[in-house]
Amino acid sequence: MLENLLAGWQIALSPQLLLILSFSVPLGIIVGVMPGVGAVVGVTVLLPLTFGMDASSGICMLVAVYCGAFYGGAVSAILINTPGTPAAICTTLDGYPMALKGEAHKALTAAVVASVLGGLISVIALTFAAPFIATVALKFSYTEYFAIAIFGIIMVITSGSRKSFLKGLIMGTFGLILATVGQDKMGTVERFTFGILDLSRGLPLLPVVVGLFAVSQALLLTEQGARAVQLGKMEQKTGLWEMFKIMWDHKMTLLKSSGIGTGVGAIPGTGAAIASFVAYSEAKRASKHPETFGEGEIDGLIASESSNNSVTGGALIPLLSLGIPGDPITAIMMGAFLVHGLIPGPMLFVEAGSLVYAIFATMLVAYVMILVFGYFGARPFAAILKVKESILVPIILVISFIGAYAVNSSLFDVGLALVFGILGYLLNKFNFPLAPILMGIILGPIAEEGLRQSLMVSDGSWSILVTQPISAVFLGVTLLIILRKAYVLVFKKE
Amino acid sequence: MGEKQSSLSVKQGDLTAGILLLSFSVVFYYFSYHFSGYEIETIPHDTGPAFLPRLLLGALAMEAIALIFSSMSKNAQSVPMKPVFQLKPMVMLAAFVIYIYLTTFFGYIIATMAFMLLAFFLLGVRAIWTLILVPPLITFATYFLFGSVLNIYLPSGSLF
Repeated sequence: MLENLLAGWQIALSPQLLLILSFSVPLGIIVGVMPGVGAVVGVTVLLPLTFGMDASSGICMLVAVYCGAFYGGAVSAILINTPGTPAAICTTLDGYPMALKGEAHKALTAAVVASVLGGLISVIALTFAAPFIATVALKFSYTEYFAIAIFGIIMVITSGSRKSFLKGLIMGTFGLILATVGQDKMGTVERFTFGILDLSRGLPLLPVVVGLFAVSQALLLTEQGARAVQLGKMEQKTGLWEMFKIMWDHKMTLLKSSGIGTGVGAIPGTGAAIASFVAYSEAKRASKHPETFGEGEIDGLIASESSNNSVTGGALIPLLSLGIPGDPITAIMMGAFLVHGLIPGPMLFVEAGSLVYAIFATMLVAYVMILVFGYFGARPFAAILKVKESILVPIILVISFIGAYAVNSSLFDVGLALVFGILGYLLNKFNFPLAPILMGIILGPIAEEGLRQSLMVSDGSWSILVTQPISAVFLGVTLLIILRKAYVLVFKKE
Repeated sequence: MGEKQSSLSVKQGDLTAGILLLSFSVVFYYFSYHFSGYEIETIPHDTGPAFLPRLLLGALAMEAIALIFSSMSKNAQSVPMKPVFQLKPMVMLAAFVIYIYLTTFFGYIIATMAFMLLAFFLLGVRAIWTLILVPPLITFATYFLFGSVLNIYLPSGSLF
């Protein structure tokens, strides 16, 4: 472990990677700042940049973009009352009122310091938790992987609201069906390929991701009118040291919210928006002055920002240790691993241990960079809010073209991205969530192979799914989640 | 600026989506009986290649029926949904299709510049310097970054 840790830090502190990070951190902040673009589209659009890099540079670059984007969402939330990412919704509640009071700079400084501290806490948790879980997961058989895959899918589906539950369920099932396209892994049977050779190896992940998240979003952005941007006032400056002292006064909120963010992030299908809602509610409940929340209370801002940034480390725990993405962004990042011939999961710690530790080290370096860029670049990042959708849309579409084309140099893949772009656009209109499709496509093959191999091992006995203890626990918890959701749907109102 | 509204209500939208999904599951269930290729050998106790797709298509059909019923319930939302087809995205989509097609003939550089210029124009950009500077800037910057720095092959077109 120590060897890999040192090798990881060596990679993270190499001049080449530091140079890449010094571009990708501000790039991440920029995509996070832009409402309508956000972390998901940003990571998708920047994914093709990783194809020509070596694995560690490419993956670490995406990780830096991921971390940067989560902070970036706070800038627009504070200055124009519009969260750049859904994770920053709670940041608007107190950040914008602070900006209206002429404390925009203080709010931005509080956001960047809380984000960085929350992020750093989550990376420390990731560094200790992921290798431990991976060591346990090395003993997993197909049965356990089937159970974990089912658990992951159900978590994504049930995390939606009452209204979106059925639609989430439909999209999860649809994603699992899409995952069956292509040659059967345990034979030579072509499923739903309709004689198209390019589909024999299944639906390629990257064109699907680019289509669902980037092309569809570009189409949706064309419908929007120009934003009326009126920035909050930034006259009163707050120094970094002064802000660290304020953070010390709010240390309990910071620690609790970072813990909530890391924990929630580690549960597949939850994400930063849920984490920040939970942390904000908890901070309000524990506060001696709950009535000040929503009127520019810095405690609320710290809770929201530290929790949503600590999700970054949490969400990487299941991806790196089990190969199960924690949220849509880590699902997209999985594409970068696969392009470089790496399969996330416990074997990654054995086969590419230095890369895993390089990711941990990169996150720590990225958060230090976020502090520098976030504090000194508040004004230029705020100016990005004035970029119009009419300029953004063609750029997103051009980079989407490259993203879909680049892996196989195939125009078929670009066509596929187009089809999924239209599908994503239509599904958005009918209020269907997109994340469960992606989770279905990623986890479907794991679940199918796990089930079929388990049944072969057990001579066709389905009881193997519940006689293996870890599988039984995951399937039991999954069943409890379904029953609880069913109870809420049937017996509770809203 | 007020948001445009569709002639379809949310409940009608759900009904339409439910019917489309049900049709999809029925059609694909039929296709699951026509998979091409053969299993090399019969693996004992294997559920086979068609088991999971059929199970999932059955589940999707039931979920679609549930959506249809929920759209018919008294509690279903009768408020108008967002309009499904709007002119601007459809035109942008057509421009993107043409762009993909043009790259096969003219290659990445010419097709991208033409697409960006057309897209800006369609999206109402009239600032002359934006129209003159941004398309070549983005085209050459991405070409240099992806093509030269990252060694990612971009289409050169059949004409060149």
